[in-house]
Amino acid sequence: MMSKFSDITKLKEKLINDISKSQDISQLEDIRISSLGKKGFITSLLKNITSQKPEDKKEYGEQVNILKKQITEEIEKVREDYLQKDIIKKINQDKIDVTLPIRNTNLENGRIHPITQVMEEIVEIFSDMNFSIAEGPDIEDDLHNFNLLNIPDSHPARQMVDTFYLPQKDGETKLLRTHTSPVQIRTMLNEKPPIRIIAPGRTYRSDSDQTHTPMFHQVEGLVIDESANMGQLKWCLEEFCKAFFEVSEIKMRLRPSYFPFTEPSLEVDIACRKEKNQLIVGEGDEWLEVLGSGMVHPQVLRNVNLDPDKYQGFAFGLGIDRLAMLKYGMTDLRAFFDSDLNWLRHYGFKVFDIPSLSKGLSE
Amino acid sequence: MKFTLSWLKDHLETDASIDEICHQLNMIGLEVEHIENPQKTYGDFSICEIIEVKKHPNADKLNLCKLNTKFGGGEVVCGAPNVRVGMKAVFAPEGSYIPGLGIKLQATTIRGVKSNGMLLSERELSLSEDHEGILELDKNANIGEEVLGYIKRSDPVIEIAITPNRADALGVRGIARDLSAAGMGELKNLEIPKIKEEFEIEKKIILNDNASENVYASFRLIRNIKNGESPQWLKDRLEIIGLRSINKLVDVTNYLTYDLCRPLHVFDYDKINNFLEIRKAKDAEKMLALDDKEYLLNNKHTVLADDNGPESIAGIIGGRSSGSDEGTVNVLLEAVTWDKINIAQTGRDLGINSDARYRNERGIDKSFNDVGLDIATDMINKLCGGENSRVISLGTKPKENNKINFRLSEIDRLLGVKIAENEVLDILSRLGFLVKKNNQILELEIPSWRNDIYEQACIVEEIMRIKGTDNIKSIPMNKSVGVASRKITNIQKARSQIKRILASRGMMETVSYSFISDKYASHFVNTNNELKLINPLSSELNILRQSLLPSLINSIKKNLDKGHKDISLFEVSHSFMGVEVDQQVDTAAGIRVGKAISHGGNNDWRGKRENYNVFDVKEDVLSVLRAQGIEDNNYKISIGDLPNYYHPGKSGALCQGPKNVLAYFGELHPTIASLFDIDQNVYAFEIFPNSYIANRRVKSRVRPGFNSSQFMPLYRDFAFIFDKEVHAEEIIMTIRKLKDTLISDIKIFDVYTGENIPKDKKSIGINLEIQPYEKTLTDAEIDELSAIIINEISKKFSATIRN
Repeated sequence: MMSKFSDITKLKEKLINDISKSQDISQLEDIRISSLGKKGFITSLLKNITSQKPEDKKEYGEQVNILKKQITEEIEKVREDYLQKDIIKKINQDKIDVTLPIRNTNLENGRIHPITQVMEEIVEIFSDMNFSIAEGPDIEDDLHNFNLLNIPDSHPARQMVDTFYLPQKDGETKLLRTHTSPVQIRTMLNEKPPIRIIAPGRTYRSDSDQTHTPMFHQVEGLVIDESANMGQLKWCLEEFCKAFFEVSEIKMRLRPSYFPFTEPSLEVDIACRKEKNQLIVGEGDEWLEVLGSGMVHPQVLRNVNLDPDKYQGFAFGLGIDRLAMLKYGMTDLRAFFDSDLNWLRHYGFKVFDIPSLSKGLSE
Repeated sequence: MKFTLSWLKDHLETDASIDEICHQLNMIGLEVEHIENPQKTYGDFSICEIIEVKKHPNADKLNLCKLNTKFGGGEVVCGAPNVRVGMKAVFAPEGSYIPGLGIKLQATTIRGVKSNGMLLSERELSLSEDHEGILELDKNANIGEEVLGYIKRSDPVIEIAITPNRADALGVRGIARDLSAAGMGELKNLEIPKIKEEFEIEKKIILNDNASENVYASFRLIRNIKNGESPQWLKDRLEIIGLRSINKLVDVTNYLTYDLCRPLHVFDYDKINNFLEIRKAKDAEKMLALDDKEYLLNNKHTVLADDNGPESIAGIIGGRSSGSDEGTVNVLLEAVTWDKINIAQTGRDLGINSDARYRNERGIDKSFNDVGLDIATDMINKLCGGENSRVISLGTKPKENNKINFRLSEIDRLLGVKIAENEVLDILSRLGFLVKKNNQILELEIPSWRNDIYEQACIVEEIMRIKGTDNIKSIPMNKSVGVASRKITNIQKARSQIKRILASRGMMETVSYSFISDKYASHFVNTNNELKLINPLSSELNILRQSLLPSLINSIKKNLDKGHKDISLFEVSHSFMGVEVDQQVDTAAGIRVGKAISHGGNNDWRGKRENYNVFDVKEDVLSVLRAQGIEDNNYKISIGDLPNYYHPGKSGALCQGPKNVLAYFGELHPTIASLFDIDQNVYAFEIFPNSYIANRRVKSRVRPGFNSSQFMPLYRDFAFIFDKEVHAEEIIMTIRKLKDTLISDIKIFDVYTGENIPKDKKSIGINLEIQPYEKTLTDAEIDELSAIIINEISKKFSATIRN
């Protein structure tokens, strides 16, 4: 049965066919303009409603509006397809190889020297135990480096170390400090007890082989008050070693020894063992000498005008470079001072590896 | 100090094992440095018998030996010419350590024949250099038994480090005494011989007043002796501790030096001309010593001299001309307790390290002086015969032992350990103290051999040593109450920040020696002779550095030579302007060469590689300063007045006023680069944090009020033509000084010379950011602002605006 509006039906079939045959978004647009545009034939059909018979007008109007809606929807649908295809095509054209490397960043390239890092670790730990950080000059005199530390000129202990000397100035012997201990003297002369300091810094001895360099680093510790004793010294060093090596227990051995500026004096060994060429610190059957310490010698206290019957305290000295080697596994001390780029890159620390007790010293 | 276990047991009655003894030595402060224990070295080896010898099928010089070992039969390939059937030899099984070769023995196949173990020569056993053949043992040796009883090196050797205070432990007897005090056996009695004295010494022996301080000297003449080679036991003992046997007389003195810590000297009496005098040397007197070196003496050195001059340097070394030898018949034996300070000074002056000096400068037991002389006399009599004179003694006789009062409470006060009183008394008496108790005070008489003890703290150390440090228990220190306060100073914090800032800019931190070579130093600053080391290790490290740059340039050069191309290094340390405390100046210095790594370095697929330039190091400096609170307008950049190691046209100094230099930056002077043999531009900076980090704390942390604007900023560009000599900084300062609160930022976006610009001129493009706060600006207002700027710049710099 032929509808009264078979023209509309035919038109619809033709337009649907045209739309499906369109090649791209611009052909589709042409179809839209020719059909739905201001002068398009669907628009004209709508206008033709006036020339319809009155009884047909309603149905005619409905039919044309249905046609308009269907064609609009069809065009929209196909346009969406074209847009999708275009995006896909564009994406396909825009591909790059994201696996290409980036440039090295400054943060990646920069390095902090292990000595700085380990010094900062040490400072973190001792400041938690309420130690302040003191300093003294590298160029010292006889008085501070030796005499006031109970090492008079003739003392055989002067031969325990090989001192670098500078020319005398105004009758005073100038030298490079052989240990950080003169900072003890400078601190005690300038401050009233209670004193609790560490003093990290450069020290110098005329010695050079795989385990000795003419310059190296020490940190001195000093506690002076009216009750500091050897038990506290032991606690302090145990706490330090546990925190520094980041272990929960540490086996420690105190060996009587001799330093002119402490009495009694102790050398401190920590237990260690080798596991697959790696040194495990804190346990095991071998002993590692890590530091020297003792109760401050009464004569040293007198030398800085403190009454040894009233004041007492302890002191200790650690080798920073050696601690770094034990913790991080370097084998040759000399390489610390060689500025070899590969070594610095390998053993150096990254910028944001900032030692902190709350964030973990080295983790 | 070296000794053997059997030597120790001459003085100590003990069943303790070598390991127990060594542990105890460590724990009483006599640190064991090395143990050579034949039990361990040779424990794997056993005695075997060769039961068959056949030629190796594929090698002329090798034999196949069938063995009878403790493991049963065995076959080894052996190259030794002396193998024969029936011979007893040392068998080393697979897996044993061969001391003379320093290897662990593996099963091997030698020319197609399997060898299961090895027969050892003396050299392989580390007994001697003999490698002529394998060691042949006594034919009665039992197969399978360990070899220890059949070789000469069976006594363990212990080497300990003696701290300078413990002169008493520089003899085997002293060590035995300390061990016995610590409960490791009983000290044996020392037999003191009775010497038969028959005559007087004829030649005069004199102690001059100028050398008599703290000296006690005794001499004895022994006549008609027969010197010669020492008996084997004596030679072995000396040899094993590394001393060469010379002759009986010399060996006796060396032996007693080590055995009883009693240094002695022997003169050939007949070679002493006329008399012997202890006196100070005369200036420029010379002596040829037993080490065959001639020493130049002065009036501080004590000598023993005869009519010919010095015959011995007191307490240090004897002279060649009066020394004893095989022909010595009459020997003058000297036992002197010298002034230890004089010995130390003389020894150091002359650079002589002898066993005698080592002991004499530490102070030996004066009360033992004459006993030592008698023991030596007796030993010489036994080895060489002879008749003895009466003793001549000169100088200050040994006085009574020193006394000290000791408060028992000191132990707990210093150690934090409570020790029972009777135990304290016991420890002290075992150490040789005579103890008298008076309430809580001990009146102690210090043993004559312990001249290191003079304080109560020394007594506490003795008790701690012997009681054992295991008894010291950890006692927590009081930590801060509440939150810890700040612990580091401003400058310490600044240094730490600088390091992280520079590292964040891609630089690597180095730590280099504080001393450099003066051949470089002099090119940087005028050499300050105060800073020259008197005793440098080498001429490469002979002066303290006044700038960190020579070290850094040297490091750059070394890395360039290793093939690195892009290098950025820095160091934060001290520069030394002089030797005084305040002349040690904090410095952060850095160097860059090559291509900027962050721009791709030398190899990046994006291609563009940019060389470092002056503005990279300027950026380094400003990054640090800005981070540390120094704004760009807090200083001026001065162009002249830089140290002459900087390129005069490509460097700047950041100054506050004429004196306070915050930093230098720029290209290094080409002559410096060529001094270090670097053929490219080197960029450097030095920052001096002391110049701007004040040692004060911040008063308020509240920041100035925040003034935000709801209006968009607008931008205006200006281009002027300036004289070439005009500096950008002056232009910026001029605009800033207009103090127009509307100008919020000034940028230089272009600097141009060339076409359309006169030769002595340059064009500079300036971009201003204008930030209105109260209302949007009208065109008229903007034009007015522009006019002010154009007017000011044109007037001040005779510049013309470009359009």
